This record gives sequence, structure tokens and C-alpha cells, in this order.
Amino acid sequence: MTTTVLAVDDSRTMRQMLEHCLKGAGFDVVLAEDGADGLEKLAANEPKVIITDINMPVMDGFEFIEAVRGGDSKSRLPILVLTTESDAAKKERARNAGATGWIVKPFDPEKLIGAVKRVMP
Amino acid sequence: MNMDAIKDTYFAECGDQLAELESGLFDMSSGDTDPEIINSVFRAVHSIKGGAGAFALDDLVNFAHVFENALDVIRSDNSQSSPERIDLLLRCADVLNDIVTVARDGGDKIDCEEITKALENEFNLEEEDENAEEAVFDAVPISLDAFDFDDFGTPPKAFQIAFAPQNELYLHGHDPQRIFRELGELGTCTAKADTSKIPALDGYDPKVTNLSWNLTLEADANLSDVKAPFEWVEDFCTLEIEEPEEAPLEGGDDISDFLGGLDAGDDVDTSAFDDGDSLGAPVDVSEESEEAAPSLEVVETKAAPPAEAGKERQAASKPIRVDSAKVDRLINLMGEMVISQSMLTMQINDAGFTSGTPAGLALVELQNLTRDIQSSVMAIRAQPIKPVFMRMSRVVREVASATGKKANLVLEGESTEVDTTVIEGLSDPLTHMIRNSVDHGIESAEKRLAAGKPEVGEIRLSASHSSGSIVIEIRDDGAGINRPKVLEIARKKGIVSPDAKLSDDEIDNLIFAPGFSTSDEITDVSGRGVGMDVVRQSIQGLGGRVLISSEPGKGSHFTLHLPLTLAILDGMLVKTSEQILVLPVTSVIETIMFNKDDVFVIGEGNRVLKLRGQLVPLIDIGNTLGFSEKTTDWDNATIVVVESRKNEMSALVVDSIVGQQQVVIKSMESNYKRIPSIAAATILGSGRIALILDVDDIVSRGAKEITAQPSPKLEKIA
Repeated sequence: MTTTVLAVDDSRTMRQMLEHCLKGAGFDVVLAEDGADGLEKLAANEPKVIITDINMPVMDGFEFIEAVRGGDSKSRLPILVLTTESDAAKKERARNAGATGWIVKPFDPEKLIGAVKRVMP
Repeated sequence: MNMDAIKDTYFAECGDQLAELESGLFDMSSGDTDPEIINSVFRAVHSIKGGAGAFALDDLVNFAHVFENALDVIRSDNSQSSPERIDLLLRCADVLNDIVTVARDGGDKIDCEEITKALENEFNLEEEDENAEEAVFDAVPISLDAFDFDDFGTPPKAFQIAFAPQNELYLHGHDPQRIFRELGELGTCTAKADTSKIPALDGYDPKVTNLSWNLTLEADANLSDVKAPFEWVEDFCTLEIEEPEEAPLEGGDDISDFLGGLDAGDDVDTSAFDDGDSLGAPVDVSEESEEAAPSLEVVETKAAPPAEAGKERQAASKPIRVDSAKVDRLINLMGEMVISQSMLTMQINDAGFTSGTPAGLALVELQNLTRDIQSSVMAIRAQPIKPVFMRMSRVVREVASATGKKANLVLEGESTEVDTTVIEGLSDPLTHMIRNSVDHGIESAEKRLAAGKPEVGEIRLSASHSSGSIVIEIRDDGAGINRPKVLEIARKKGIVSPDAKLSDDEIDNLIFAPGFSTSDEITDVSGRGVGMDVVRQSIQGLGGRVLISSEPGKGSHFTLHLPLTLAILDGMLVKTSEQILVLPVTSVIETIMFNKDDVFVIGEGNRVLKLRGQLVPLIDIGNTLGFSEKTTDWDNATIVVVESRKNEMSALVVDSIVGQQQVVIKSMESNYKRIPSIAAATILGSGRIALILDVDDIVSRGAKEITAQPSPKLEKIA
């Protein structure tokens, strides 16, 4: 069975890129464009891994991670933070919110897939 | 989807981000301190950088990176914002725009060294060590070599790993199985579960993790490779890694034999470590705990508000992207529908169904619906004029800096919605006019101070809706039109005869004459031989008009009247010489029955209508357009009084008024050629083509005929 990845990013470019890379590696991809959209897509699909951007309008990545972690049976899903933020404080905040791991943009497709494989069941 | 397509998306998105950036900075420059603005500005640069990195657009990444850091200074502490700093950021936005353009279209590399330095100095950004940056971007510690590891030429080493996860590890979505699996990819990993800390069932707390592991890894790897899989869990576990002595240990087999062994490369079932009870399976424990422990519900309720709030905010307005060709098709179809509806109206009326009959009522319903659909469809095409206005702020900055003048752009009504086509066509003429305002209108700082004006000139750009049209005004507080100089140039260039006496208004309007340029020398900024005549043509091409008024020493005021839409017009249908003509309803003042007593002749047979004490040129429209010989028997005629956008009136003589209806505008230029006094054509319900009159042109002709008379003498007509 193919593994579904939920990718949340407000940038169309990034969403297309994530979709391209992940699909190329044989994953099913569900896309969302901000945290709120991400929660809706999470409720409607069965992703095994979540990738999320941090800086997003409407609901940012921190809020999104907290909402997922505080949610129902899907609260233990691995969440990878995908962001260009390089400073340690952001990473720390993401982790405190419940992030499983992080990938620093610009991502190398192989690194992205490697990181997803690392946390997927 | 290939990378090129994604790149196209990227550049399209860059356009949106740049607009967002400029608009946000502009709001900040007008003193708006809403934190969401700086956030959106930051996000814009951040997204541009993110995508640029993926496409290896290094110039863009580097500049965006410094720009982003500068913005972060203000984002973290709004008191760091100052007008000078925002001005610098606005200039950076221009540079970023240029770099994006070069990255997309090619061209000379943009030199941004100076502005980068300026940014770094202004915001006290430390120049970053390139290697440090590199390290930051390499933060994902997945060694690709490790995945391809199949070179067992050197003897493997055995690492001893003591791994005790804490609750936090599971709460962050980690699973020890996956870590073991990753270790298994380095070599042969065997694990022994330590179940000694698991209490008896009566003292068991499902929320507490008690299971730990001792692992042996045989791999030709160094310490950092072995640590890598633990990178994300380091803070959530106790981890001890013992490096092997020089000689590889053997004995992993013993451990695996002892406990049934675990090859971390395989699918791991943690229940294998004990009796299969959920006690030993951490994931199950934590999931069960949610049902078992009421305290967790508190967490859920706490987390719910942001989710719902987010949903609400999102539901408020979510734009979708639609191919403009689809919208154009919709507009065309709607135009056809309007025509079909008028055909139907005609048939129903001819068949004798009055408005009280069921058929008549249904028709009224259809008309209302058509009108609603029309305005809804038009709304799709309508966009706020803001993006065009925002571009003008850059124009002002650039021209001011090139001419050494000081000028500020003030925007008003930038949320006014205008048809997309109008917006597209507006950018160029507006740019030219704004350039002119700074270059020719605003005086140098010294002159301004000497004239008792504020040092910084002001250009006010506003948009508003006014009776079925869009009004765009450009006011500057500069020197105003230099009329003696304009007149002198116009005479020199033969635009007016040397002895012509012109009113101030007429002199002002000379700047729109073809080939006119007031600048002594062609400057970099507004010269280039393209004058205001081109501006006027562009505006006319959009179905609009441009007017000027000016006051010496106080400034100039340009007013652009543009149609709300280029597709549909509310028309009054009139009949003359067996022809049906359409007048835009917006230009009709009133209709009156012809009364001989009110008509006078001036000079050589030019007729005027006395309307409430005012004399209005009377134009026989059928004759003017060449449909008929001039007729003197106007006894049964109707007069339609129309007004041009310059507020000049004319009285048009027609045979009768046919009715009022919406007509779909079909361009004459694109289907035939331009005809004086005709704005466009349309197809009537009967399938007949009718011409739409250019009221402004007709009125100005009528006015000219009258004023051309040397000494008008009023006479009663026979």
C-alpha cells in the first residue's frame, strides 16, 4: 500500500515541488495551503507522515503542529517541519510544539525523501 | 509535472509575493503598525528565497536572505522601524523585483552589492560566514552514503548503545522502531529490550514510558553516523553510545540469540520484546492513555480553538485562480445572452404580451436575472486597482532619485475595483503621467522652499467610482502648467497659429497635442519622445477620457474617466433617418419635445436650443453622420440633451426614442475601422447592427461649429 504524505505549505511553488518529489518517490500526496487547511485535509485523509511549513498565513506551522498533537487518534503522526528558518530558536519552538523532525529549505529532493523515510512507519 | 512547470509557478508566485511585499511596505511607510503587515512582508521575501534556493538562483537567495534578516529586525521589534529604514526596504523591494525579473527573463546581473551593504549597515547585520551558512543548510543529517552502504571491505565495528526514551519522544511522533530501522541500514543492529523498569499491573501508569533498549550495532561507521538517527530525539531520551575498541567485538549473536534478536532493517514489532501485551508497546500505550486518562481531554479542548478560528478565517474569503480566457468566454457568452434576451423581449412584445401577462412577468424576471448575472460576471473581472497604484510608488521613488527631487506619493481609494482589461491598459499611461508629475510638475526642493511650500512634493493618486465610470485623479502640488512656455512651444511647433487666442484651459490641453514636449531637453525620465498625446490615446483606447486643470504655482490636476467595463453599456436607443443609434445612458441629461420657440439660429445656420436660459448647440445627428440631408421640418422631432465628460452639453435632434436597453459593445476598430463620432457598435435584439455614438466627440464638434463664428448673432428661426 502506498504511504500518504500530507504536505502543508502556503507557497504554490513549494507545494508543487513537494508533490513532484514525493510522488516521484512513490508516495501519495495530499496538499494543504495553510495550517487550517492542513487540519481539514488531515481529517479527511489517512496520511502516515505530515510535512509542514512554519511561516504561513491563517494558521502557522506552530499552531498547526499543536493542533495536531492535541487532536484525536492522529495526534502521534510524525510531523516534519519544512522551513527556511535556520535559527535555533525557531527549530526549538517547532519542537516544543511537537514537531518530529525538520528539513531546512532549500531541500534536496533526496534529503526530503530520506527524512520522510526516516519517520514513516 | 516537470521542473520547468514548477519554475513557471514559482515566477508567477513571485509576482504575487512582490506585490504583497510592496503593498505591505507601503502600508508601513504610511505608519501602519499592524504586526500582520510586517509578517506578510516577511513571508513574501521568505517564500521568494525558499523557491529560489530550490532552483539554485543564488543571486536571488543571497539578496533575499539579507533582506529577510533586515525585515526580521523590525518583525521582532517594531520600534526598530523608521521612515528611513522603510524607504531603504522599499528600494530593496525594487531591487528584489529586478533580480526576479533577470532570473526569469535573463539579462545583465543586477548589481546589488551597494544596497546589500547599506542594508547590512543600517540593520547592523553581521556579514555571514559562507561556511556557516552552508552548515545551516546542511542541517539534515541524513548521510546518503549510508543508505548506499554496501562496502563491507573493512571489518565492521560494534557500537554499544543504551537508549532509554522518555514520554516526550512518543508525544513528538517518534517511534524507536524507526530509529532501529535506520541504524539497521548502517550495518547489523541487534536490540535487547530492558523491561526491568516496567512495574506490576496495579502500579502501572500508561502515560509513563518504562521501556529501554540496549543495542549493538556492527557497522563500519563513525560516531556521527551512529548518532545521526538519534538527532531528532536527543532531548527526549537518555542515550549513551560507546565506541568500539580497535578490534571489532563479536558477540552480537549472543545477544540476539538470548532475546530472539531484532534486525532493525526488518519490520519491527515491539511486542516481540515481551509477552505481546500492550505494556511493552509504547505507541499503543500512549494511544490507550488518551481514552484512559481524562487529563488529556484538557489538551484537546485547548487545542481546538486555533483550529476552528483558522477555519473561520479561511472560510471568509478564499480566492481561486482561474484562467482569464475562461472568464473572457463567460463575458462573451453573457453578452450573447443579453442579445438573446432582447430578441426575446421583442418577440414577446410583438406577440402582444404586456407586462401584466404571465409571459410578460416571466420576461421581467429574466431581465432581472440577466442583470444580476451580468454584474456578478463583471465582478469576477474586476480587481482592485491597488497593484497598479503600488507600482507608481516605485516610479515616484525612481524619478525623484534620478532628478534629485523630493516627492511623496499618497494613494487614495486603491481598493476601487476596475475591470482587468482597464487595469492592464492603465499601467503604461499612468506610469507616464506620474513620471511627468515628478519630472515636470514637482519643483526642486530649493524652489519649493523659496515658494513657501513644504520641501517634499506631494503627488496624490486616487481612484473612485462615479456614476457608472471610474475616475482616477492625479494631483501634484508642483508648479502647475507653465502656460506662456506651453503656448510658445505650441506656436513654435506650429500646433497653434501664432495669432490664435486661447483660453487657459485650451493652453493646458495643448500638452496632449501630438509631438508636444515641454521639457527643454529630453530627460532620462519622461522624455523619450513619447508625449502626453500617447497617454491620451491609450486612455481613449480604453474608452476613457483624460482632462487637465492647472493652477500656476499650486499644481496640476489630471482626471481620467474610464468605463467600468468594456463589454456592456446601458444604452438609450434613438431613431433618426431610419437608423437606430445608441447613446450611453450615462451621458443623457434629459429628453424634451421639440419646440420651435426655443430654437435660435446663430450666424450661418447654426442652431442652438435655449434651455432654461442657456444656449446649447443643436445637432441634427442624422445629418451630421451623413444619414440624411439637413431637414428643416423638426416639428415631430425629439431632442435628447447629452453632456460630455467635460460637462459641455449638446442637444441632439432625433426622430424618436426607441427604448432603453443594455447593449454589448463590439469594437469598431477591431472589426472595421475607427469612424469619427462613433464609439462602437452593437447587435440589437432584431439582429440588426446599431452604432453607439461617441457623445464627447459629437459635443466637441457642435461646440466648435458655434465658436468658429466670428461674431455670433442670435436670430429666431423661420
